[in-house]
Amino acid sequence: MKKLLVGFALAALLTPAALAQSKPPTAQDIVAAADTTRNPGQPFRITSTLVEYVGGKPRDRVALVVFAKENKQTHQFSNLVRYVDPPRDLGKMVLMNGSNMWFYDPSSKVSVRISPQQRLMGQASDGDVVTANLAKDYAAKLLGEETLQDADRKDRACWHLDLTAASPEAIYSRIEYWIEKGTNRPVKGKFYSDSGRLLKIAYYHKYAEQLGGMRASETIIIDSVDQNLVTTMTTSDMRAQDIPDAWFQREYLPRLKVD
Amino acid sequence: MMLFKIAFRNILRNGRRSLMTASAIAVGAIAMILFGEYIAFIMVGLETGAVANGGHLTVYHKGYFDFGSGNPSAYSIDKYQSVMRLIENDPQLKPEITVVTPNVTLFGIAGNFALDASKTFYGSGFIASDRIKMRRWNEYGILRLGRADDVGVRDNDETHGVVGIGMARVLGLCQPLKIANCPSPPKPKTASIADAPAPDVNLAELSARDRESVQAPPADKAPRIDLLAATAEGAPNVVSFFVNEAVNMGFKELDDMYVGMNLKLAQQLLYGRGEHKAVSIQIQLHRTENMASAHARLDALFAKHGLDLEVHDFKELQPQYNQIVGFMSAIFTFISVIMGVIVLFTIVNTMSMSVMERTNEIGTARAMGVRRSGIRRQFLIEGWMLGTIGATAGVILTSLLANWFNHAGVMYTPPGQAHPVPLLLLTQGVGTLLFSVWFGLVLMATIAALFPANRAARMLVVDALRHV
Repeated sequence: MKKLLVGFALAALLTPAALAQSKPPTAQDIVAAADTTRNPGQPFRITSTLVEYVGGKPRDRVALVVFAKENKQTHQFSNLVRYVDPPRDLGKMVLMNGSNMWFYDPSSKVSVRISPQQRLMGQASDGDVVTANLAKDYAAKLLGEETLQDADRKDRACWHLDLTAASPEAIYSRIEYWIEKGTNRPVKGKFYSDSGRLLKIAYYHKYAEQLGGMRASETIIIDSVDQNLVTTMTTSDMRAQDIPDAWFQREYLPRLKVD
Repeated sequence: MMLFKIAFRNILRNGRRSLMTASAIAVGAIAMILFGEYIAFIMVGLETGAVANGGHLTVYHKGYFDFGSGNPSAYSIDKYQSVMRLIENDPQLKPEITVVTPNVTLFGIAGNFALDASKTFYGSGFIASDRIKMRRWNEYGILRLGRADDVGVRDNDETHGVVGIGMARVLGLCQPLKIANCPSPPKPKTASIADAPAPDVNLAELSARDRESVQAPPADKAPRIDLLAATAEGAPNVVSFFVNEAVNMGFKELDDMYVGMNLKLAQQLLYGRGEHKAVSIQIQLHRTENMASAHARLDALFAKHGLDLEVHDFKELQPQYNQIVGFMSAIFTFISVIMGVIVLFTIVNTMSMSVMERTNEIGTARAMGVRRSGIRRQFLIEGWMLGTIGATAGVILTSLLANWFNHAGVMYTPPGQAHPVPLLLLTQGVGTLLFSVWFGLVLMATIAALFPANRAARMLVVDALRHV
């Protein structure tokens, strides 16, 4: 179960170019800026490689192609994830549409719904860290400015923001979020559960030009519950692609032909 | 009266044979009554166990019983406190109720990530003081040894609780909890893959930056595990959980899954930052006989207030209760039939021999003007009297035997339970059983006497007189 859900290595990684800011921005503006940058503004595909490290040693690796399109009404992404590596998983797909999640197995040509309760473990939930449009579901508060070491141990001047859940759809009750001043690039996020426990920490780094913007090409996700577990998510080959809406229909999965 | 005197004298005439016949009947009575009393004890034991653990009646949101276990948070009772107040303050129900208590059940993942061990769990959240009060329910006066007053969870301590022994074993808590006969889990193999790139940042340093010592272990050094669950919206939720002890849940499936916790912790896990609801409300009554009327009253109450709730009694919730009742009844019926047949044959045999021996006597009586019906009545009364003596002796002997057995201190572990309890024979409230066994045997003996009596009555006077 854990494997099949491997993450939704999505849009999130895409942190876009800085927005020109003239006056001191409000907290919500900063988050929105960081968010809008996650979204290239057009449907796209991206190749994403997840490596799971346990105690520093790589344990598992999975390569995925992700097709993402923003739903104009909800401003959340619909994602279609297709496994490309390892070969035994080739052709398996996961469809995530709103809060519904479907797993499709080409050998049996059936899709199985995965309920929220079944997404708890492993990298399944990593998608949440990278896909969510945070500005919509959370109320942001500026805690201050802070100089923070990023994943490469470089100091960055950041806005330190505190996001609290503002809608029932919000996955986390609270997020601590560090966004670099000037560039509005997310540097780090700490994600808390309803009970107040830290669930995971994400570092966004290796910013590079992708699809018309500077976006993080690697996200390091540190699991704070199972403290031995670290997952890296590397993205490449991002390009715009027009994706028909039918691709995000569960019924269409068996007929879907992808290169 | 004369007939009875003659019948009694006839019985005494062949004392040894009559004694054997009566003994056979008595043994039949003893076997049936003892077994009946044993079944009665099992049944009230099961009932006491079910009621002490889950109450008589359980209130759910409509549909939970059929569909809810897959998604407990969607079938929860909103504003359960007001529903509980409604039940508690109802003038009809109030005098009958012992406890009304909310309950939360949920599924999730329990992990001891220090050992890289995790598994799915079935959690039950309850109010400890109410649960203890419920465990004291003892309508039938059965002394239940064991842990009536300790449920391992405290009202004022949200983070501590108990797990099943199987769960403790999987999570590697055997040593910290000092469980006997409990091996530690084998070290997990660290599978690793070769072709993955080495990380170009120092992951250990990175994850050490924010490592918080989650919570300092409390003074009592209870081992800590993490419980993960998801709310209805799919938000993951994690809490720390300290295991006071491992409890034996009786059967392995539950033993491997069970986590017993404070109600508030279960609500925190299942409902997160949303409204804290309850999955069920358990109601315990003083007496089981009030269950049907209380059930009807609750239905009426919920209908009147437009509440979307349904009520189930413990017999519906625990299908094994009715299964065990049916199973035991089948065995009892089987034994009764066999005993009845044995009694039948014994009496037929004894009476036939009497008839044979007394052929001359029958001829004489008939020659003196006794009618066929008089002869038949004579033998019927003899059979009836043998049955009565045997059955009465059986009932008296049974009460002596049961009394002796109840003082012998035999222990056993009832089905579906973890701890041995005293094995007793229920000697109170079994009047119906005693009477029906007694009456059944006497009736059987009388019917059995009917065939020989008929034969005696149909004898030809001349042949009977000449019989040698």
